[in-house]
Amino acid sequence: MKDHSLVTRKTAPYYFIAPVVAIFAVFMVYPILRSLYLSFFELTSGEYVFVGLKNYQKLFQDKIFYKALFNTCIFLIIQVPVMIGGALLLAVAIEQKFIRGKSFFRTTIFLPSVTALVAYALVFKVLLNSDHGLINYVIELFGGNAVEWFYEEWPARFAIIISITWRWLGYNMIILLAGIQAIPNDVLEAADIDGASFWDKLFHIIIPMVKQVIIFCTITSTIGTLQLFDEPYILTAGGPNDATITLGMYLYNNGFRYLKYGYASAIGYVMTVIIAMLSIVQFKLTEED
Amino acid sequence: MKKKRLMASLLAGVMSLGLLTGCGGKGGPENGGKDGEVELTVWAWDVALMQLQDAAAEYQKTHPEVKFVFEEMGTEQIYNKLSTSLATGNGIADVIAVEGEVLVGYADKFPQGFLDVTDAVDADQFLPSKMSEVSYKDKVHAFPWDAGPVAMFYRTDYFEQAGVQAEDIQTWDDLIEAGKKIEAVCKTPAGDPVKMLPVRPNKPGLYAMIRNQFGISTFDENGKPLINDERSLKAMHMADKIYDSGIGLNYNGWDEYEQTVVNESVACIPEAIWMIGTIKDKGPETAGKWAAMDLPSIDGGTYSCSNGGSDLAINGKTKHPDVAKDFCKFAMTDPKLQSSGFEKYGLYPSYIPSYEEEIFSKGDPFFGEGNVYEIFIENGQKVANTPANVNNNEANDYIGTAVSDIMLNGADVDTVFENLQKELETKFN
Repeated sequence: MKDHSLVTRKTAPYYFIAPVVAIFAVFMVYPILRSLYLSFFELTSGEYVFVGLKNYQKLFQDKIFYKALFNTCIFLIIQVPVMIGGALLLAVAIEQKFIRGKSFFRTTIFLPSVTALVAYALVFKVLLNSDHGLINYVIELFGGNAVEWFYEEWPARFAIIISITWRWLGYNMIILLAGIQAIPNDVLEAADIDGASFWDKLFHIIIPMVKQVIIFCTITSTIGTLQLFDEPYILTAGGPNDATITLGMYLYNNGFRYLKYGYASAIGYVMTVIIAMLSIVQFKLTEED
Repeated sequence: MKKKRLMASLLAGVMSLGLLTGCGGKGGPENGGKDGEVELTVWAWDVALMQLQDAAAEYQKTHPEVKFVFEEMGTEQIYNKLSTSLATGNGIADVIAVEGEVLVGYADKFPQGFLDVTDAVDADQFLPSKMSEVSYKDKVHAFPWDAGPVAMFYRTDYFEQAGVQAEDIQTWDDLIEAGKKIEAVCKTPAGDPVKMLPVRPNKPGLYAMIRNQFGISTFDENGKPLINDERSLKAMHMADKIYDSGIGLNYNGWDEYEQTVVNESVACIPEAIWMIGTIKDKGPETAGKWAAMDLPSIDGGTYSCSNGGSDLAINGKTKHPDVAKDFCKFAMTDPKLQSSGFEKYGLYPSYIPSYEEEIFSKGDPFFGEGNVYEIFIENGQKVANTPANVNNNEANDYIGTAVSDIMLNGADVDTVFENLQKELETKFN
């Protein structure tokens, strides 16, 4: 006999996931489609006017857009490898047998990523102040010249890189640490018996075995860097000479300060395409084996 | 961002639904509520909100039937809601405080967003520069509120130490000379040499101030950029000269600007009248050491300038347009309220008759014996009546970038501004 009631063994799971699907549709799918639609329109005098591909055409001739793209790439190329490499080294170091108080180090290194964005950015602003900041003080103590962190283009970029690395290093370290701890002990022991050095173990056992985790960290960090907004907004306001403006900031400026919603949506879509392409490349790299 | 915007509009939608059902339950304020009772919701930030609460308390003495709901909202919060809901008028308050520089943007994108208050605003009674701020396309979009006339605050003790007379600083060149003398002689409490003025080398600030003295803005009345205009170039050359002379103290953001008062590291601050509040707040031990004088002049410049200030707008779809208008008019034109708002919250009124109030002739002992307000009142009426332009915000960002290229990278003024002119012309054709 067939059960004709609405809730059956077969249909029940759909009821369970329905709330999630509904929320996902309203808060994710709809905005994504809506902003694609918006990117072909521009708001003029209270009405959305269809402009076709004009927003995209303008975007590809926009100098600031290219500058933002360039800055974002710089952050990506320098910051992500430095941070992932640093996080990996720290994670390996913490796992060494001679380290005492492991949980203390784990916690303190992780702590920056729970600080409030604005608070930490303001602290870095004080630390990096060119006249009476601690960082310049230390540089001068060792005989270096004070750096104009916020008034020269490359130092300003490095100021951003330093602060985001400080904030996200511990977060990535914890994830990598979990990966390292999952490596079976007998593998490492066998290597020890075979007389492998620390570096042999690092490059031939640890890194290959946490490769998936490294890729995961790299992808999330890449996406995070591509969407970078808060640090340049608070530390440098995108300056000097647009040296630290990012795609996220330019999108914000257009959408919320210049009220060009269509143009901002177009920037958002170009960002999405870039992020999607980079993620595909990174996934492909892992698929090899 | 996109997500946030949608979330906001959804939230707004849900909230307005809530409002509707709420109204349904009570029968609605218009039909069936307690006889003639009217409820106005007001959005504003800290001091602006407090001033409007004072105004509401006064207003209710004669209009007990009007009830107010005050919601404290930061400027960003207000703008986020305005940009999502102004088109429909749902989910936003009846009376909304808006900063002067962003008003025209909303007025352009949402022509019906704010209630037309042309008939309620007596244009001759407000500062002309504030009137042009609220007028766009033959409609007055808001009541002009506080204004920010600019003059130059200076430290009398530093001037005396270095033997500099305030009267001798007539031009910006004089300021440079005086600055060198002060830096050579005066020391801050921490022992550093005192700089003449704070400069933000990546924002239009100083350049715009000098340019405004020529009575022009970024655009002319037809929307043509005036970047390579002779007067604009002159202003930028002067700003660059001041920066290169080394008398300025670099600052990066508001927190560092306040620090110049705390650390007593500058002898002058050319700034709007609202800076009085910051100086008193951040440098209480400098009482009696400050005074105010006119800005140094530039050859050919006959105007003064202003910085900041807000306006009071009404939701175009409000249920009670007449009551809201009447309340705003009262709040913006009652002289007693204007004077207490200035005394308590530093909101300098743009309603001209209120300058007759006693407070404006009394001065403030913190700034020495003379009447510190005098120069600001005078300068407020000398601010040029420049046309409001929708693209001002974006153009200002471009100028900030050009200024940092000139001041920080040492680029040539004429080349950079010539390029910027072309760029803005194509961008905003």
